[in-house]
Amino acid sequence: MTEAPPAIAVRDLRKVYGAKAAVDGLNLTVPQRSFFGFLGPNGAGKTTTIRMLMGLAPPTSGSIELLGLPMPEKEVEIKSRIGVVPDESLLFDHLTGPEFVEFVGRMYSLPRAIARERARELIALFELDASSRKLIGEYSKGMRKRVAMAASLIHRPQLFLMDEPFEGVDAVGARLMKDILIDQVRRGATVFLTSHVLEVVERLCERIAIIHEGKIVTEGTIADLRSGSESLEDIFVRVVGADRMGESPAWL
Amino acid sequence: MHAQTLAILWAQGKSVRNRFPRAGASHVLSIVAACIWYGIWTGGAIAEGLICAESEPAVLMQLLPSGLLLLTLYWQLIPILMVSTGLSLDLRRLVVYPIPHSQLFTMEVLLRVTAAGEMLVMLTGATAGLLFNPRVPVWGACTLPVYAAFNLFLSTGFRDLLGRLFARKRIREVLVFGLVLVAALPQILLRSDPTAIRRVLNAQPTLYLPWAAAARLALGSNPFLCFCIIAGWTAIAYAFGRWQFERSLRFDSAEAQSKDNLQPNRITMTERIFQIVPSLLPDPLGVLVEKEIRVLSRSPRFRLVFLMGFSFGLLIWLPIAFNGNHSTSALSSHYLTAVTVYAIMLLGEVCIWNIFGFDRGAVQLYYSAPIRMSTIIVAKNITAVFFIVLETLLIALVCLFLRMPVTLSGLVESLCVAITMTIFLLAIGNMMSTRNPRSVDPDQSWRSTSAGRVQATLIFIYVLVAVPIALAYAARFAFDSDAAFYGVLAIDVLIGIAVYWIAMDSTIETASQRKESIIAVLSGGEGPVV
Repeated sequence: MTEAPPAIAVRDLRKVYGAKAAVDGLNLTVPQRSFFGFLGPNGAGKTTTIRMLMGLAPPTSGSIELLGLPMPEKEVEIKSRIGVVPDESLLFDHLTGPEFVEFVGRMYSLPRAIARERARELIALFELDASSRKLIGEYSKGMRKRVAMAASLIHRPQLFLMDEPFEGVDAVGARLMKDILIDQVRRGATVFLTSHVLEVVERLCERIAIIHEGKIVTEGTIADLRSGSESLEDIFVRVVGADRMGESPAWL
Repeated sequence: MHAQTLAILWAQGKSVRNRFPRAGASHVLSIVAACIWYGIWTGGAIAEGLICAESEPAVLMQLLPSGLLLLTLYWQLIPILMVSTGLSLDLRRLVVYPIPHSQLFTMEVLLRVTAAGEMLVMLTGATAGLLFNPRVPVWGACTLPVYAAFNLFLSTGFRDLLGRLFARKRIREVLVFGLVLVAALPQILLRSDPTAIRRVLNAQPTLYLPWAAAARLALGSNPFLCFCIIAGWTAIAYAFGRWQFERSLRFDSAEAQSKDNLQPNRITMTERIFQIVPSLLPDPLGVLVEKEIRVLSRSPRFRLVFLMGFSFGLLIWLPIAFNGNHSTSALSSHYLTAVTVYAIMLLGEVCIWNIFGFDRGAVQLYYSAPIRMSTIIVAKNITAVFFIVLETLLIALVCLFLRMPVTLSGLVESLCVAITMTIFLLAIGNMMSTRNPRSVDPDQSWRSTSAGRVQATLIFIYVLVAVPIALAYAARFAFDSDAAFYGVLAIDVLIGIAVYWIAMDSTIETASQRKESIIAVLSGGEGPVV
């Protein structure tokens, strides 16, 4: 029996903006059925990496394989098997939540009746049914994230790519989203997420990678990376070298 | 039709319907203007159909190639000159879904109809006319839909190509001048030889050109060869359109922009010019004007419009420069004013009619900061006047550089007319901006309305605003005196200021009453089609 290919295999990935390499020779392997956290300080290259994985930005060089299929050669097949929670600006503000989720279902070629039924169920699951007649443009930030995650689930993807899925989500919503994701991993899916909420990552992710100035500076299980009683925040601050407090101006 | 195509159409329909109840009077005005505009073209198409139905093939052999050539020129060039290329797929949002590129391309090609719908009306007229002409084979009329497809593919390719080129700062500037030169070519020909255009249009074009082959095929002449030629041209246009579309799908605008910003800390001459006006004003007015100037000057959409307004001056003046013959026609003696009015028309979309839509993220700050709304609106209006004056001066400077007859009195006249007109426009624009705010993507170079609709709406509004200016010119003509001209203009300015302040009260009241809905509308994006 052949071994399942990794969910994500990235080799020497580079993305250059002008004279600056936002992602600089990234190598990463994410096994299937795992919960992987991709961390880094602001401007480290997390969003650029996830945009390249989603097919939103072409890499300058390097190779990407998702679920054993090469990008961009098998782009359509890959996209049909992944669920994305991208930057919230990719939502359509003049649709209601159920309309958007149904739209996404139909974009993944679900029959209209099934897309509508699943959209209704997902909206209820994410506790958005009370606002089902509201336009997404009128949603709060947390509600926008919830609807984006609901939409990402509609076609039962094998791999989730999520950019800051918990940003702006309240504690109840975050708990709900975490439970759903854990359940998805139990059922065989892979979750790759970026987040600044380190407590969530610490609780959810089996493996993490920390990116700094476009390069992976550490990767492994949290237990492997931990020295003594360090929290993930301590590891993060130590690894990216930001453990010194900047000197505040006198007037502050 | 593919399920995903239907889903996009369904979502777009929902988006439009959800937004429709928010439509205001300006939407109604825009629809009325569009009806008038397309009504005129429909009349033209009926006349064209009658000519095609009644004429002998020999006459049609003369008329049809020229007609199809003009149609292609309009279809490809006017949307670019008006910076309005119609509706388009929002690829940035759709690219995450598993949609085959061929499907996206098909939809994009069909959306190109909105770039110059007038031409489709004209083609329909010609097709219907040919179908009713007993001297022309019935199958000949089928050629014109193929010719429409050729134009749609070509238009898709050009839009994508220009869209990517305009995203790169320096290339964009060079490109605009290139376009202006291309657009100026007929005028240069006309000035150097008045019969040149007529000869070009009347000449029997070589059979291998698409319009000639399409015309001959439509009239049943040499059908096999003509079919091969037009099919070949359509295939080339398809390949070009598809190639450019694929490149746009892979295009990363952030990457393109980053190549232009390698020295972010260097203060350029332009930045120094931009700081002059704000430095003369007290804060918070000064800082607001500075912010407006910075935001607008960095927006691709504003830069394109500013360049087009400015470079159109060259478009009008190049023929005279090449000819060396200073004509005394009404247009040539008021060239600076004419170019300035054109520039105001283009700049209006970004500086006057929707003052909050461009930097929509700042609206929440305006409402939460301890600044009066009137100060914010005045700052935006000062910025508009600054750019209009700057544009006028740039046009005059280039004309001087090209040794064109720019006089100080001509410059003063065009500045006075521009400022008078701008005061009235700002009064109306401020009210429209709070009653019908629209979120605009400043990174999107092209307008999404069709060029024709933009022209129609602008004509409607500007004719109204031009009345006080026309009165000043009438006074000059009647009294043969510049004093009369400037006297009437002075009265116009006083009336304009009164109108401006009355409108300002109404604007501030609306801005206060509709605070929540303005923020909500400006926070929103678009549907899958923009």
